[in-house]
Amino acid sequence: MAETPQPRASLLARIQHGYRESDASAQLFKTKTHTVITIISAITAIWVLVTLTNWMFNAEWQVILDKRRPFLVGKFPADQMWRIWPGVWIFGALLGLSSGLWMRPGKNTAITIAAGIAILSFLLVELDSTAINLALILLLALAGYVVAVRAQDSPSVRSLISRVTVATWVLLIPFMIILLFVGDAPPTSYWGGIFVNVMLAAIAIVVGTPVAVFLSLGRSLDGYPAIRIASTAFIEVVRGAPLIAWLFMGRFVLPFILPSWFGMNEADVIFRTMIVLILFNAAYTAEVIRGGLQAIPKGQYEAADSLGLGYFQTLRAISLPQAFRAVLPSLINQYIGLFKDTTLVYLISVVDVLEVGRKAFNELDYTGTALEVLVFVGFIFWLVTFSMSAISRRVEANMGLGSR
Amino acid sequence: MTNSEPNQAIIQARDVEKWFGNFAALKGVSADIQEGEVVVVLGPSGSGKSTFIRCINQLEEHEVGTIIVDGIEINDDSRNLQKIRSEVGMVFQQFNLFPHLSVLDNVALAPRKVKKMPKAEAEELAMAGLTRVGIPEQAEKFPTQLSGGQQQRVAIARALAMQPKIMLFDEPTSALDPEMIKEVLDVMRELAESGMTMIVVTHEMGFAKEVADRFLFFAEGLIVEEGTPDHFFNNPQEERTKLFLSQIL
Repeated sequence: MAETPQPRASLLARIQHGYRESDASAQLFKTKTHTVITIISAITAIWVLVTLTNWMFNAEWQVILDKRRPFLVGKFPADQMWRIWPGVWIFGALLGLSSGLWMRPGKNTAITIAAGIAILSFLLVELDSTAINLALILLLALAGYVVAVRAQDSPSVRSLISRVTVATWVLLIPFMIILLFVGDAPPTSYWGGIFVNVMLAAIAIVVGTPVAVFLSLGRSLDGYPAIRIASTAFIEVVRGAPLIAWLFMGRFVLPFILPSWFGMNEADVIFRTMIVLILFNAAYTAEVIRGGLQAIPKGQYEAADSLGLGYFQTLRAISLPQAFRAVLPSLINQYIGLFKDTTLVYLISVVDVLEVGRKAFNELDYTGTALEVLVFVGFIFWLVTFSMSAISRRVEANMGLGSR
Repeated sequence: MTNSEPNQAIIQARDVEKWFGNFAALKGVSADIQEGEVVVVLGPSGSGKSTFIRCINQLEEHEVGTIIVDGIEINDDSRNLQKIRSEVGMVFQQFNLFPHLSVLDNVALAPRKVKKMPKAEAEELAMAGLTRVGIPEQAEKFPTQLSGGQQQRVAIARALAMQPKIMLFDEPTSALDPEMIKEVLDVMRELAESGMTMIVVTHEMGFAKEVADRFLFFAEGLIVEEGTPDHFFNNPQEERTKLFLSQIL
């Protein structure tokens, strides 16, 4: 039996150890069939790697460099960027703080995110304000992480920092919205790039999830038929039509239906798209949460009742925490799907990151760069969704899901 | 003290009926239980004994009859119900601990939420409770990390943390492995000796004989016989009681 390597052993040592432990050499060449399959797989893998690497180094990446600003923020004016960056800085710092505070002992999440941002900055090699800002996010995330880890020693400092962190998470989106609209702000028709995808998804998730909680409770509420029927009808109707149909509805029909209070009927297309995405996400998330609520044994409610807890106290302390634990993987699944669905907004003439790409490779100067552009956009989406799933896996491990 | 008068029974049930669809689980049950009394409820399965004690804290709503707990009548007023529930603790066959909370939080939850006790004070109370049931060292663990007997003792501490006047036990040892039954019964015995009013549904006859002041024997939704342990074991009157005792002893 091989000696177990130290936790700090090098990656190579750990791979070697894993190879020996898994008895791979015996498995890979166990019989003639095994040997043939192993060799064919190895050749295929090498061929794929060589081809990909070859393509990577010969591809025309100039378009990505030239269009890095539109990819990030669309037509958003350069002198207005101060409305966007602070929110992103804070986001980076919060990620670092949170992983340091609550994600012990794994460090993979922080490292994954940091590596992702580092790769992104590397792709935008020229040292301009964009690159500096991206590097700043990375620095803030690392600083946050270090501060949080240092704070573990002192309970009072730790509780202070975790309170500030939670409060800042709650206030982040309102803060970003205020910055984006305060004073002489550029109209939302200037919004674009990955910024629009992230903003739309974030708002749909942050606002839509509480709505979903109410819908799922409403749907399972005995004794109030009006609420139950209304919730059920809303969920079934929204799920009954494709997202594109709802986006068109928001774009072309909503202005005629909305009342004229506060100029709601003249609200711009991004605002209406947000409403559509919030409601769409709420309907789907509601069903996910309802599934979690149904999985809670009746005895939990009886125990809560017998202790004298009221309906809302039971919800907050007993049923919702357990429901969210049970459905966390499905919930993240739903959020990842929603994030990718935000690319559909190009149909109602919002220039999201994919549309920026499409416009770029249709330009005469960049003819024949479609593959490069699509790979880059795909990479960005992968980076975000993979971070989401990495974070959720860490949260699951932290909650001890599956182990208790 | 609340509005209960001296010498008045702490639980007064009159002609209580409980229907599940067309099935009558309780067909007019009347019983008085005095403060400090330990009452053991016996009967074959399906006789209504669990339903009866679940009516006392209204986990089941009775359709007919009145139940008065510590001078408060159970009716549609949800504030009365809340008041009664915080005075009546309950321990279940399946423990029903909250799996997402630590043992300490399980016990401290109700004092914090229902009695609005400050966190530190509630946790101190919870630790005292866990010490009383003999497992203070398990406070930071989660329920599924404990043995069945330990979980049931946590459940008892959780119910006691609300400082109830009455404790209901619904077959508290039926889901336990034999070697864990004793540790739970020991806690219950200590509780009985401290003067707690207890209603216990159990099949542990040795324990019942030792601690019970009075027995209630249920069959087919009615109390068919009641009396002291001496009466019950040495001189039962009803045929059904004799039959039941001959099967269980």
